[in-house]
Amino acid sequence: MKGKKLMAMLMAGSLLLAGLTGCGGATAKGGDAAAGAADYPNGPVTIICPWGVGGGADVISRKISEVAKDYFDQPIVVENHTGASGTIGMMDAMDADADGYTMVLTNGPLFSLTPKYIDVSYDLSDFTMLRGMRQVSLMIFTNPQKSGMKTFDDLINYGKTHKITYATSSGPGGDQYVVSSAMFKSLGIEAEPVVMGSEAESINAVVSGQVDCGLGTPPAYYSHQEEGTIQAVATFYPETVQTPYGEVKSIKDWGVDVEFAGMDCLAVRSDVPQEIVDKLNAMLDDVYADSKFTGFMDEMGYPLWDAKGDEVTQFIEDQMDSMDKYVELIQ
Amino acid sequence: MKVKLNSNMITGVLFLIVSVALHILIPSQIRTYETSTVTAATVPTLLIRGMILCSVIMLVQGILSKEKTEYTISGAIFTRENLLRLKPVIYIAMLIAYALLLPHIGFIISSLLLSNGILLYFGTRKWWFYAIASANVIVAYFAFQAMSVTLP
Amino acid sequence: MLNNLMTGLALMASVESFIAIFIGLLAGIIIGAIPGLTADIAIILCLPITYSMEPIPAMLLLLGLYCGGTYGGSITAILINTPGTPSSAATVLDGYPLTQQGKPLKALTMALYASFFGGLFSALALLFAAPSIAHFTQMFGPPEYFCIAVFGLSIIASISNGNIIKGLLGGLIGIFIALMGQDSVSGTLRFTFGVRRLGGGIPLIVTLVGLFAIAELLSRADYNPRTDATRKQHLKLDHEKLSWEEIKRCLKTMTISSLIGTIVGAIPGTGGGIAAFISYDQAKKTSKYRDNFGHGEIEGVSATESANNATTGSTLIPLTTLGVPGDGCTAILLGAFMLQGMVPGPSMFKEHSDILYGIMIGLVVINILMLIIGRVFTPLYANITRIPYELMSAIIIVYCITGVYSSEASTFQVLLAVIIGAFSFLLRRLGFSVVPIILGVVLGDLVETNFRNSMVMSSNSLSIFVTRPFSLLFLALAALSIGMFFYKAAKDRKSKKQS
Repeated sequence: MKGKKLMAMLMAGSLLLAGLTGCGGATAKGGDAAAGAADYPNGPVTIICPWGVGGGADVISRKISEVAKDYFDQPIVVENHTGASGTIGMMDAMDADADGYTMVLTNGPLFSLTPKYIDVSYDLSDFTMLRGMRQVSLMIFTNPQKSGMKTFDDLINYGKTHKITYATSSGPGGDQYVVSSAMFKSLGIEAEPVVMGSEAESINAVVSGQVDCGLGTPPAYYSHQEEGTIQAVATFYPETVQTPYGEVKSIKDWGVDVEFAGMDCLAVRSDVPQEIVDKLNAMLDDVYADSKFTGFMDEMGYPLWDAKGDEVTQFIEDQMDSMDKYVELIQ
Repeated sequence: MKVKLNSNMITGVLFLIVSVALHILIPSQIRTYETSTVTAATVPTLLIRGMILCSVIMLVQGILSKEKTEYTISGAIFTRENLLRLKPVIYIAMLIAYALLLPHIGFIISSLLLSNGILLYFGTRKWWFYAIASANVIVAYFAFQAMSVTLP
Repeated sequence: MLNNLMTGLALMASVESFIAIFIGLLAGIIIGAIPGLTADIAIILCLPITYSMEPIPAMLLLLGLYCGGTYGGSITAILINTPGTPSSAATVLDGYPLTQQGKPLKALTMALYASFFGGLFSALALLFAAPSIAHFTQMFGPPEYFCIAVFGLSIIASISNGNIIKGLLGGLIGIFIALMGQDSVSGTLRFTFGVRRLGGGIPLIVTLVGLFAIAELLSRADYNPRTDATRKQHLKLDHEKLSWEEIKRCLKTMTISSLIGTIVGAIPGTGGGIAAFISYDQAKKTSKYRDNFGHGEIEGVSATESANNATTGSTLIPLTTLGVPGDGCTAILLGAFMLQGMVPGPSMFKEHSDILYGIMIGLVVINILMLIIGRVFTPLYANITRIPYELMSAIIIVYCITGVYSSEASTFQVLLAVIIGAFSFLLRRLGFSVVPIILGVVLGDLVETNFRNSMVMSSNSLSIFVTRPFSLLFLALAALSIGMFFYKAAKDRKSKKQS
């Protein structure tokens, strides 16, 4: 009996070994990877979202995949590869084959800021930008009901005599932290961030009066502004921003030389054949022209940023210069 | 040579080594840019010190305890019974081999090998067990395919 | 109010809604029961299907998955000592011993009733008391969250089976696992050892599969089908049903646990797992049968299962009133709401009140249907224990792996789960209970992040934890929990000496 069992165990081991040697060379990947640009697309296309499900950029890319059903022969699937400030998703996109079956959702700081803090194996030249998605104006907001601060001047005056605590959704190495630290530093105000897990939690921390002020982007805080528990007092965007609740002035108007315009965009690896890039761009043209997509963006309050690839690349290059400056300032 | 051991002593020594090693690694594994008093290294440092403390207490508990098993370290340790106790190691090795092979030979082949390997490991001789286990792999593959998860 | 309820009911009562609920529940229960697949993954996988659906059926499908998944996790926890989801980790404490005693049917039935009870309680709380509960939990900031987490950790004392140091060490190991990867406050990478994938941390599901499922498979690796005693007797399945008396004596526990679950669920950043542990601890301390806890006490099952399902409705409370998701699942539901053109937040009750009431009434219906579906299937899956172990082992491992893989579409996670499994197997051999470890994993991030944020708020003064009423309350509860453990231990020692 025992001999037989031992035999079986040996067989299990040798089978595994056979798997190791015999099948080691074969790849189980589908044939679509090898196919050329001519019959592209002949398999599902993935969008890697480097952030979690339910965030703004994730929701928009899912909407794109939904609308694209009418224009693209193959399904577009959003996969969330999260972690390490989004660099895991970016590096996964680099690891994928340059066959145009993998797009990646990205933003400026993933090139201009995060690589300063986390070792990454990519840079801007590794990606071809396809299209801008939305532009984001980062706002500073207070809670007039709890703190009595209604304007940016109120906040500055308060900061002259008190240490300010503010809610952000990113710590050192994150865009919100860097630009806000640079701002407080150039205003000569002592401020410490309370880092929340998400923007919704930052807003909630301000609404419930746990912190003096907070950072966030439209439209997430709109419904609180309607309640009067949130007041956007200034923005990092270089120009005055129009919101449904009046205009919000740029911090540049207070003489602060810090600016930040957030955006999300779609990209592919730069060694993807031009033919395929053109096909993807044609698909995006159709989606961006569809009222189902633009209507959704309007309804959600996301400002659509219909920038072509070169414009997006230029935008990121500009941001890289200013981020260098801010990081130096706060160190 | 004879040694008296119990699980608390083994645990204590094992975790003392691990936690001291982790403590030494803190500066190289946590490079923080923060300037505040409480940084990314604060809680892990406290945590690892807690682990060191627990390990020491456990070691002392183990030494003081009277419940010990006597082990004789000699050539006789490699008896058939002792070797059979190491049987789970084969199982672990199969799983690790599987996890390493998965990206290279794909889900279907590697899972078929693993499922049938497990049945072989238990010494099953009912052929239909192998059939069920193999069919299960295929079912899982297509079920996930249907939910647009492409397994490797 | 009545008006809202009527319009909601009218909107909800459609054939599509019932089909969506039915499919959602059925899929949810199956997915929840499979170790490696959780409600989170189910919702992510089904999200694309809902794009083209009407808002109410779409959300009800996802909520069906959520509720079904939370209940389904208990099935494998009871039958094979492997929780299907993190919420059911505490259910193994008493559920599995019941199976070992040949009473899986009883445990499964109790789990179903308790899940129904908790789920319904929570759904009604969402329907009638959402604004006031939200108002209450909004008073909680980082110091309160920290103290709740400390209270959660204090439970280690009562679940570490005798050796408290081993339990404590387990808890510390758990927290350490949770802290690996990127620090959520500063963005610093910690203990990644140069492995890029570890930068994302170890996902909870990977830890769960490793600690429980794979370790359980390994610990039975010396099982021999020919000499296994239970096999020879054909494992006498006790068809003893759950008696009305037993339900009645668990009613108090279920009510208190549901209340705990509802409140814990409404606190952002927590979830079903924590609620289940707190309720279990509470039930153990107050029950007449407290000495039987951990040895197959039906009341233990009723406490954990009613508490974790009681979070299903209440996690939606901060989502619908403040726009803040109550746990990981509701963070995904937030995205689903937005894709349906609704922005969760204070204005949601005003702008989409009819749809929202439809969804909330749907949640009540989901829980009732869950009871019915469960009643039909419970006797069926009680038979899972009859499957020969070697075959079960070969089948389960496949799902553990696919589940772990699909959470991040990465084979690295599979390797990680195997490594954690081997490590957990070693710990079991050394006499550790893995339950304190999973408790540490679940609470680790909550403890650290909120400790650091509290320190920022108070300029590094620890006094912040005792000057705020609710944080003081939770600290006092933690102290009480630990104090009772030592008191009981001392009493036991005394009585042992006398005898």
